[in-house]
Amino acid sequence: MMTQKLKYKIKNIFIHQLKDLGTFLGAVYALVIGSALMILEYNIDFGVLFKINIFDTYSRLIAVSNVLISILIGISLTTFSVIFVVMQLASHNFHPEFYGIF
Amino acid sequence: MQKFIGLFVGTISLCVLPQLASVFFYQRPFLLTLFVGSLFAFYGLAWSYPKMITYLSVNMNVSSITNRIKIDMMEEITNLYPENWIVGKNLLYKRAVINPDTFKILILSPFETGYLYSVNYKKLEKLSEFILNSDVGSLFENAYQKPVVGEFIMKDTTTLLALVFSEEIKPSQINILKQEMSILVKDTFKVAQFRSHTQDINFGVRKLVDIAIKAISPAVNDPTTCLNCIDQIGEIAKELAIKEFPSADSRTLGSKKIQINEFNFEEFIDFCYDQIFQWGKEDPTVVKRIIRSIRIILPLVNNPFNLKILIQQVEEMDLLEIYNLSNYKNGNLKISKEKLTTIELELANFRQKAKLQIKVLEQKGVLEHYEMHHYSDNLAITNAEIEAIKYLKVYKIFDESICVNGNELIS
Repeated sequence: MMTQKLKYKIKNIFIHQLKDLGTFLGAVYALVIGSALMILEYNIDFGVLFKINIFDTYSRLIAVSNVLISILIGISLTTFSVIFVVMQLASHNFHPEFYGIF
Repeated sequence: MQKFIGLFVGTISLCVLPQLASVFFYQRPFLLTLFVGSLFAFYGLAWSYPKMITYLSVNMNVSSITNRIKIDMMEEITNLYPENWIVGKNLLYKRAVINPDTFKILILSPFETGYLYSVNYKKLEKLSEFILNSDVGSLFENAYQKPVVGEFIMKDTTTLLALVFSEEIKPSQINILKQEMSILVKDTFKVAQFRSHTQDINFGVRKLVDIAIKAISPAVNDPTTCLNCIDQIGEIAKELAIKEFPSADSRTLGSKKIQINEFNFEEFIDFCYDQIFQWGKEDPTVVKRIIRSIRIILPLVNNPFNLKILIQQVEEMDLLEIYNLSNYKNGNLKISKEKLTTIELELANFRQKAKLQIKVLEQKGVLEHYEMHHYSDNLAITNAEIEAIKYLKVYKIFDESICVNGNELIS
């Protein structure tokens, strides 16, 4: 009973306090993980540590990552716009969140 | 879904950030960050995106939507009404009525127009304590929460609280109290653009009813969705039928001079079935499913008042006025004779089950108990209890000669 109540309370916090869990998680990935890694890299020279030509690898990886994020942005935008149009038509008077999809 | 959005946004940021940082710190390549970002992007494309599409296709299915609404409602019901009804408790709940002769102060909504999202009962309790400790505390009788959670609230128009006093208090005291209350009320009530599931069971029912009646509208014509909604509503009704009314919070606060406004079982059952029946009464499949969804609850209902409400819900549909042989012969019913028979059979089954349950309650001594004992000081509740017992006793001996309305098909 206690665990159920606690679970219910946590769920309510997520619904009512952290309305945009996506934004929250996005910020965690970008700010927390991103900053931690960048600070680490700024202080430690991985080129010396792993004996690789770090500049060369980095410039080649930039191209790959740019392609990957372009595809990711493309498919996300297409999918989300379709979902929003469908949801808008299907549930004009309710928030999509209430149908449990978002 | 939000997790997928988070992953996508985070991944894009992780890929862009090191490239942006390299502009300013060109001697420092952020290889590890970019590598992690690229890994996330690859993971997102190869694993999360297909998973998200599968998730969407499953969750956009109406069965998933209605099931999720029901699960949320069941959680909320368990939270609001933690105790099941047992013999020795009040059979029903009726709203506390304010005596018109008493002196009252109305606290109007200071919020922007919207729906009552939730009420913080702990803060509401403090609000009552505050009045009791003030200089008008000795005259304070009760605080009545006026709107039900989910109700539409208009700024400076809707009354949120009515504070009742045994005597008229001075205008200066009224002004001070109103000022203090408007601050406390802002913390206690939450008004938002959308309704929420929290404390608002009717919202879930409303959504299911909306989906059901949209599905059977001639423009859509999707009876399966409607039947699915009726099934889920039936489960919500079952859960409500076995619970003790009013809610646990309402009972606790009632003893602390705060009267919460909430729906009773009768109102909930009306919300569940009335509108679907209104729009689906000419579809025998919908009607049959409504009767069936109520019929399967009956053996679980030990509260005579709730049993009466469920029986009444079906009986007041006046099905035999619509589905009878004379209407069929006149061509007013656009259904086959076979369908007409099945409706009558379903109704006969329902009546049989209802009578059986009344008999069970009689054997348990529940009906007799509530003929002799009443646990409420409220006369309206006592009268409703007496009426419910009387109704069930009459219903039990009600002759099942349903040929009266010309329905000689199954007689």
